[in-house]
Amino acid sequence: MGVEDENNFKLRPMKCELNYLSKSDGSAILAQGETVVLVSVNGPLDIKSNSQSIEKATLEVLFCGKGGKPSVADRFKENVIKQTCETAILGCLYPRTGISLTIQELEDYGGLLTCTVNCACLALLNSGMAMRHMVAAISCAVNEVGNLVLEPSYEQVQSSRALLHFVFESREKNLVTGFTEGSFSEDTYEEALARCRLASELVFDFYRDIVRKYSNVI
Amino acid sequence: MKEVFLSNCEKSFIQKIISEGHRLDGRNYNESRKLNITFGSQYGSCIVSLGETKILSQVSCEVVQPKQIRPNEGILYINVEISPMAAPQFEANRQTDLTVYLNRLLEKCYKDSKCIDLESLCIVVEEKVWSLRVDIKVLNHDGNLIECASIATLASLAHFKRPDVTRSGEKVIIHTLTEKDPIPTVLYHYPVCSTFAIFNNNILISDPSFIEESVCTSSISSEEGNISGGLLVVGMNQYKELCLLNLTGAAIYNSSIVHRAILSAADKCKSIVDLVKKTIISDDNLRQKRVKINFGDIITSDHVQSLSRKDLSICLKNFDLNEKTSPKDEVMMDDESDVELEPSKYDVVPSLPQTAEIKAKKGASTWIEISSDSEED
Repeated sequence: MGVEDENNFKLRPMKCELNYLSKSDGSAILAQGETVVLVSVNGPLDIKSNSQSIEKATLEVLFCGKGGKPSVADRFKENVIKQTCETAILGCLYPRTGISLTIQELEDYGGLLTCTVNCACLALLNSGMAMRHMVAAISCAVNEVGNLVLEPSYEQVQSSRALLHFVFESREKNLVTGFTEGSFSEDTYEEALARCRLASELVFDFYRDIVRKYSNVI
Repeated sequence: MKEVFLSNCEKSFIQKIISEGHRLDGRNYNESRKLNITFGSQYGSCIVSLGETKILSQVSCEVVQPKQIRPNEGILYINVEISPMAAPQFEANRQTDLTVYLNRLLEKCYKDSKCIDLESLCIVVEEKVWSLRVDIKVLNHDGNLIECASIATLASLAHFKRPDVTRSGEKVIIHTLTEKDPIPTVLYHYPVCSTFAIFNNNILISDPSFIEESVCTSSISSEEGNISGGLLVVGMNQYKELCLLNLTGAAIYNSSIVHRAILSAADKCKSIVDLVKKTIISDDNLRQKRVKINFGDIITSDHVQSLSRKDLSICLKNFDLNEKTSPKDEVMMDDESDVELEPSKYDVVPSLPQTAEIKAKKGASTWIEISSDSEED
């Protein structure tokens, strides 16, 4: 199993471009496999006084689907991203301001939410926002036989029994967000968590590469 | 966030250089920015970029009941959204004047010009028709949204293919893409909008950037007695037939401007339509060869190298960055020595930001000390 595990840790190819939009304070476009997401960050900027907070910056997240009307599923994604990013951003440095995070889905071939979280983190890095830590999201599917598949493709998601999503922070590799769909045993959960934690290292390496590449130029 | 207003300085500067025949980014009066169309993996999705202005368009379809007055026609619905992604001053889920204006212009251009064969979208009269929905999302607002949005709408409508349908008696079967080849939308003609900014009541500038747009529209309201600016939108198809005219400011009173604009729009619209057709054909060929097309392709790494150059939005007319790199370095060296000798000549003094702050604080504290002394006296 050990050899197989190592092979499984190959994530889908990631491609990223920072500063894609000129009018936003920070923006990133990220492709993970065939799934593509564009995120822009604006802030800290002044907002309406009734949504201001004295203690920390207010984070507003807007998720735009590709076509059609906004749905409840979009609100769910917004909520997950908002709670994840709120722990990552050092909001107490910017009291009485707002930070707006706008997400545009470009292509969805599975793993949209993990791609969105990673892209949001890259956009926040690009905008120069003060952060406690970076975040990396990894998803894991349990297929019909009961084996774990890291970063499943679109077809694998469709045929899977359960889907587990984890978000880790960069310092201690602690779990920030976790949510699951479908049914699975406790052991499977523990194993998936451990594997995803190892795989998150690859995502952080990717962040480091991207930032190094761009900071070299600037 | 509130919109950042332009200062009078900027306004008069733009007015001045344009009357002298220059533009901030070094273009000629009737030169457009670079147009780029990329298609996504689905039919009818594309990103159009005109310079830095970027718009995402997606066409989707569903079967609905037709309207009572048009029982044998399909429905076309256009929806424009401007999220805070476009620029920080826009609010989420809020309709602004700009969205309504854009929506109406696109409806005029594509619905009222009857460029789409709506009757071909009918499945069963009075019962089932296709409803096409075009979602326009502004990703980056750097001026001339109208032209960019209209190209995006046209490209995605022309690229879109709807699933095939067979009728057997009362039942209607919608085939998936794998079962039967999808059917393209029938377009009688290809209308495209082009925008002109008017300066000094007679200069026409095509494809205005954000700053040029705001200068020429602000000169509508400021000098009410004599209007010299304004935006002029001309919609034309590839046969050089006029589909849409939208006049504001100076264009309303000055018909010669409109005539000139129509003449220069005719060739421009033709070339845009040709480009749209060409990209759709090459995209179709790639798809037939089963090449996977994805929005991931727009991510390039050459942007990393050109980052500093790309952000250089202000260009001189006769200045080529590529050509003059080697002599430029020498000039730079000379410049640096100049700066060291007399730094006060330049507006931007290269100093640490903290020093300025500390100075201000010192000034404030001395002022307080003096005032307290006077109170004691």
